[in-house]
Amino acid sequence: MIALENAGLRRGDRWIFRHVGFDLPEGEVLAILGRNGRGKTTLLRTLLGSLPLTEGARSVPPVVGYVPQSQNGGEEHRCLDIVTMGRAGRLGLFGLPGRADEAAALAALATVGAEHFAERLFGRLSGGERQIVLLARALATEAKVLVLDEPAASLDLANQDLLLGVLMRLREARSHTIVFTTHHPQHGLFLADRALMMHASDEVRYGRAAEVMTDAELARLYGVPFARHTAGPGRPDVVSPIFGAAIP
Amino acid sequence: MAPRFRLPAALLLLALAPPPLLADPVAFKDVTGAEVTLPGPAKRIVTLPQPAAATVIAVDGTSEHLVGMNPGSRKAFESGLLKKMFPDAASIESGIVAEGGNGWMPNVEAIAALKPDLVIQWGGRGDELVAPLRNAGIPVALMVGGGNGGTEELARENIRLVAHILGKQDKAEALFKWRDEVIDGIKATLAAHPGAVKPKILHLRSSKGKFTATGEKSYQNFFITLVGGENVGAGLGVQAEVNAEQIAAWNPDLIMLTAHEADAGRETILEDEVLSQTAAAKAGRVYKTPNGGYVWDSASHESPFTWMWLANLAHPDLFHFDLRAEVKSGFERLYNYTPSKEEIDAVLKLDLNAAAAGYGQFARK
Amino acid sequence: MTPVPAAFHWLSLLALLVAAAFASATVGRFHIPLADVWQILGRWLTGALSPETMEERILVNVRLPRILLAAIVGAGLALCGAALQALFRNPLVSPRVLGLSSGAALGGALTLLVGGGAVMLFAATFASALAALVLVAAISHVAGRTILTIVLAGIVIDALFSAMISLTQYVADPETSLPAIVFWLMGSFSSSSWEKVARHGPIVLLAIAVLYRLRFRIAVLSMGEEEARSFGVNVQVSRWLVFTVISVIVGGCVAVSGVIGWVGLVVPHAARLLVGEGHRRFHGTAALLGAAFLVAVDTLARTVTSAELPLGILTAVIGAPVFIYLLCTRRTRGGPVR
Repeated sequence: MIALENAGLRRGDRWIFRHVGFDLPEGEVLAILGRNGRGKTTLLRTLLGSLPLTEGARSVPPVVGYVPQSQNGGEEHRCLDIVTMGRAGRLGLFGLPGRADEAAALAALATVGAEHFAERLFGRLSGGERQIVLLARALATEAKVLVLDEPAASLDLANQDLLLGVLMRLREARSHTIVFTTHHPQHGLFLADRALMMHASDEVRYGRAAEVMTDAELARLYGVPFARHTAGPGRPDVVSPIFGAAIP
Repeated sequence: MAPRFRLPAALLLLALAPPPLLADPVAFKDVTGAEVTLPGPAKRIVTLPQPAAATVIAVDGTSEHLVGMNPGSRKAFESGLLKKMFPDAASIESGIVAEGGNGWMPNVEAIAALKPDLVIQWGGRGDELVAPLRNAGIPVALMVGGGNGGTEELARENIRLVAHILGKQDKAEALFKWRDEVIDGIKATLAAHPGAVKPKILHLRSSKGKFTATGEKSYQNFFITLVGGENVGAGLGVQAEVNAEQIAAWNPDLIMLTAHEADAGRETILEDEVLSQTAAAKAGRVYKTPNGGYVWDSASHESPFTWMWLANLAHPDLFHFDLRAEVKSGFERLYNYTPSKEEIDAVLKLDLNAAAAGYGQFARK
Repeated sequence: MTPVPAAFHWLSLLALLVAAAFASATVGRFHIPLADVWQILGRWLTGALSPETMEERILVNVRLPRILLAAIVGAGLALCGAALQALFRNPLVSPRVLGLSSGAALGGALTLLVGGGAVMLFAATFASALAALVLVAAISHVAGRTILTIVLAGIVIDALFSAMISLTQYVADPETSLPAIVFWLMGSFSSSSWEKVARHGPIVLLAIAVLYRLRFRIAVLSMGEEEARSFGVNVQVSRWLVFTVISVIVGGCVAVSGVIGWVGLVVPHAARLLVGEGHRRFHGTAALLGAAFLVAVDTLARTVTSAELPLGILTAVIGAPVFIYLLCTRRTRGGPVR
């Protein structure tokens, strides 16, 4: 559904990333993990087509639902208007959204359980609520692929739980193919079918999430040891970093 | 939700509007050559060019037909003798220009409220200045020149225009005759002395804060040349800002300071580090230009005074016009007013020029 | 927020504009009794009047075109301000702040310098406004699109174009082209006429209509480049079209009335405060408010003193406190100033 083949991007004489390849089947969820500056966001931008690849090939549908880390602007818009903007690609340059588009936007809000936000001002929502509205906007494009750039990066735990819960329902419905970047290995273990770990610009591990996100690999990725606990039947393991362990 | 406008209807109406019908028309051409038609000699006149107010009063011999004038005219009016000669004119409306009272953009409604028979405006400075009046259906006659640009011919055309408006062509002819006599007299004297050295003359349109010299396209160039002088500013066009170094390089023999800046006296030259060393300053030949009914260094109906005054100062050995007598008789002819000795002193700026070389000739005898 | 019904909202705004226009038609230095104003307007509106008396001419040929032009320019500047604030995702920009107005003024000054006609004047104001906009957009694209860089880029471009205007005035002939340039730059509605309405009105109104029609696309662009592209929108084409239309409007407005500040900055904020930013009401509200605002301000300008007050003074005196108020209350209304 969405794939990169031996993809590489060079700026000047420095490779941001190289030899990246994956092929995500329809309906599955991919988590991209890596330290700051490893090129996660840049990789997303090549997926979206905003940046051209230096080498390799990408296979991405023409319309992709995109959820930014946070939305700058739009505070004085109603949430329904924000979501309706996802319909812009279908409306033409001079087009204005009609009843059908608003219905689609309301349906998208319903999908993420946020119909009650429709008439509220975007600027009045909490960070997690905003991300959910932006997710609804991505759904309103009717794209089959969603790309999320660190959707929970700036959220407190309650808002993380809110957003991850909504994403989990989408995953359970298997209605969308989803790619997201994250700083929290736990988000990957909770949501992702597959994981892409960006160790270095030319070393990338890709595979089933449970298989590649081992304690050893995570420790190597972040330079921090991890502890693992079981969370109960039917739930993924819980990993947590052991801070200070690397300090002598 | 764009509002609907009635543009097409309005334009159609405008196109269909017939010109107003007038009886007993008085027709003449203004200085731009445009035909002006009035029901009769104008009884209520508004002037936007600054010198025009004084010209109307001079040609008319009274201020009663002037109902509005430029704020700049009022300033000149109050700094000169006109205020004394025509005290009634103090009540003439001057709030008739748009944009904070500068320039000549007419405030149409304020002008219309004066119910003028005619408005005199500058021509050749863009239709923006004229169109609002025309659209209001107010007759307009245009003068040309002004500022410091212009020629003696244009100066006369502007006077002729005012005479036509007032129906006083005989007064204009008398003014032209006077001008011709003074010009012919000066030319004859100079022709009789072909060896006379031409003094280098600088006219400063501004000497306060900055120096603005008038060039070969200015009216001042006309009278500097007329009195047998050489305009050092030739080459500057109408006028241009120059610095002290440039003036020092010209080293003029005589400097004439504008009457427009009432508060900038001879000290602007004599106390300047550089300019105090010019030939003119050293010889005391720095003069503040007089101001009669109108400033003497701009083209007006009083220009012959300027020529005689400057001729006496430029060639003290050749010219001996009796300016005090000329002003007295001239003001009687122009304004039906006999100036007192003190008033003549004020016109000639005896106080400001007291220490200037050769100015004793203008003092009371 | 409980929105008022759409019909009520639009009728109120239209009533405000009509009231401002009518009030403007009834006052002036030249006194026309109210009954006569009614009577003359009535006859004019029904087409049964060709202005002959001074009252009729003042009202129909002086005040009405002036009101109409003030309304068009006010609507145009406010709508452009709303669009620019969205496009630059920055609440501090306006045609004036971004240097578009100076750009248009330079084009006009150059045209007058070489003695060009009305068509060239319009083409030049449009082209140089667009040039200023492209320069600001390019600088802020390279330097990073933060509030600071955009506003600084605008200041720099505004200063550059202003300096070039001064240069134009410096080399102009003081007897002919200089006075024409000075009057044109000073900008006011005091030289309004039906001829001017006919010359500039249709194209500016058309551009206003086009920009109004683009309002949803403009709202989408305000979400950010990446986001808009992900919706399937061609960001480059959209942005250039909007830039071009804005340049037509600003060029036309500057050609009509010179550089007028504050309208494009303050009116969109006021509209935002009233109705939020939704494409249904925001842009139309800004345009109608802008029209009513400038008609009212111009009326003040020509009636307060006998010598008309420069419009820029009044828009600043009214605009600055309003803007400060809006800035200070913005946080409490929910939207942080970024």
